[in-house]
Amino acid sequence: MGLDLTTRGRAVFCALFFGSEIVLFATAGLRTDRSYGFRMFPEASTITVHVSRRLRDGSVAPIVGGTWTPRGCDGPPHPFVWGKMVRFPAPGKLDALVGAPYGVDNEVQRAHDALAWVAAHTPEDCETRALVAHVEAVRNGRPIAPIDFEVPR
Amino acid sequence: MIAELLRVLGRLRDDEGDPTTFALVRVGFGLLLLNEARLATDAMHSGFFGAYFHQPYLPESLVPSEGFYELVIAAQWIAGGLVVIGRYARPALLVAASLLVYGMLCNRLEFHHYKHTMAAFSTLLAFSPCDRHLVLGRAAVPGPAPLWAAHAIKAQVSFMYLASGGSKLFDPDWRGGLMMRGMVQSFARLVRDRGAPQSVLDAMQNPLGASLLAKGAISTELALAVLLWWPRAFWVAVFVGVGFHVVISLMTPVQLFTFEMLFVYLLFIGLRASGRSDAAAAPA
Repeated sequence: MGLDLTTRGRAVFCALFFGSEIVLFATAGLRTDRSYGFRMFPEASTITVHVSRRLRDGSVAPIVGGTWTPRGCDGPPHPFVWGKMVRFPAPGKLDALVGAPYGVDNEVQRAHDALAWVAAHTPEDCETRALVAHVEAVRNGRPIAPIDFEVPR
Repeated sequence: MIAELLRVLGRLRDDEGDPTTFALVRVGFGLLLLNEARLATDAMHSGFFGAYFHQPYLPESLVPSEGFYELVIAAQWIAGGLVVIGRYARPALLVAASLLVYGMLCNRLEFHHYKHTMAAFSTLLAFSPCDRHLVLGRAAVPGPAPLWAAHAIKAQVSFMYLASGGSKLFDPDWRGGLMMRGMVQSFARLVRDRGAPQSVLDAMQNPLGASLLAKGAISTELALAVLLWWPRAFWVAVFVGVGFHVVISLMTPVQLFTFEMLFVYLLFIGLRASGRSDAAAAPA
């Protein structure tokens, strides 16, 4: 299969392999999880995600216990369970402390993307206009300013 | 200086010696790759990742369907098995590494440093003569073989230590011990269950203890990156390196990465025992 490289092939292979590693390391800061940058144990942080629903009339209804039961498009209510759609290592539990092993920024991005995924995968919910998140975070033992964002449906 | 560096690189590239240790390390990585297939199989039992929230790097159209993903896992099992028995082991290492990377690209939530390093080591091992010994149903192929891939694996290890230690050094929370203190707190129960006395845990969680521990970890990583290449410091580096990874696996849930590192240290020891590591790096 051509895996026994010539001396020239070895040099070319090493240049490509380690060149790629250097590029991945140098660009790790552009990714919230710093993936492929060998930044082991970057933070000892936690976040708590609270999610509410913005309804058609503009009011906000908190999601309690990770479940909500909006009126369905066909009339009867449809129950939804956050933890069935978002699982560990994403923030699968709402209103509870979850670890952020790759850092606060990454866990917040996961929470944001999770909201977007849930918003896009709950077409039976005809009541919710947007999902609203309030994130409390502790970075390396120090609380930081809460982060708020809203994902429209 | 540059001429000397090029001369050393040339010797590392052309070095030859006993490839037996490659085979041992291949079997070790084969078992780790089989374990990855087992973990993926177990995860499927609680549901296909594509059916709930996932974070693909790739366009969603390249994320496999449930049926195709089952084929991917089957390929992981087959590749891992071939690596262990030694038949088509080198292409199988490349396939297994590619599947690991593909899995992480399909779902960023599946990214782990140990998977990245497993893919990197498996790729480098695929270019080594790791199929000359310990092949099921085939006699060993005697004689010396190229050892450049072992030196490339050592370069990969040094790069990892430099990247990891360097990023910690430039992070004030890491350097000052804040992160270490938080980490020890979060794993305190685990460490206590593994037999560490409470007094040791208390010492590691106070600001001075955590700061010293953090500085020790950074210094160890940066020193290992260099000492592994210095023939006279080799055994000290191996002793410190193995101890470092064993301590990490006692203090944290990290286990698979420790196994990987122990296997690559075994490779370095095998090279040293055959006298090649010194010969290639030593001055003319």
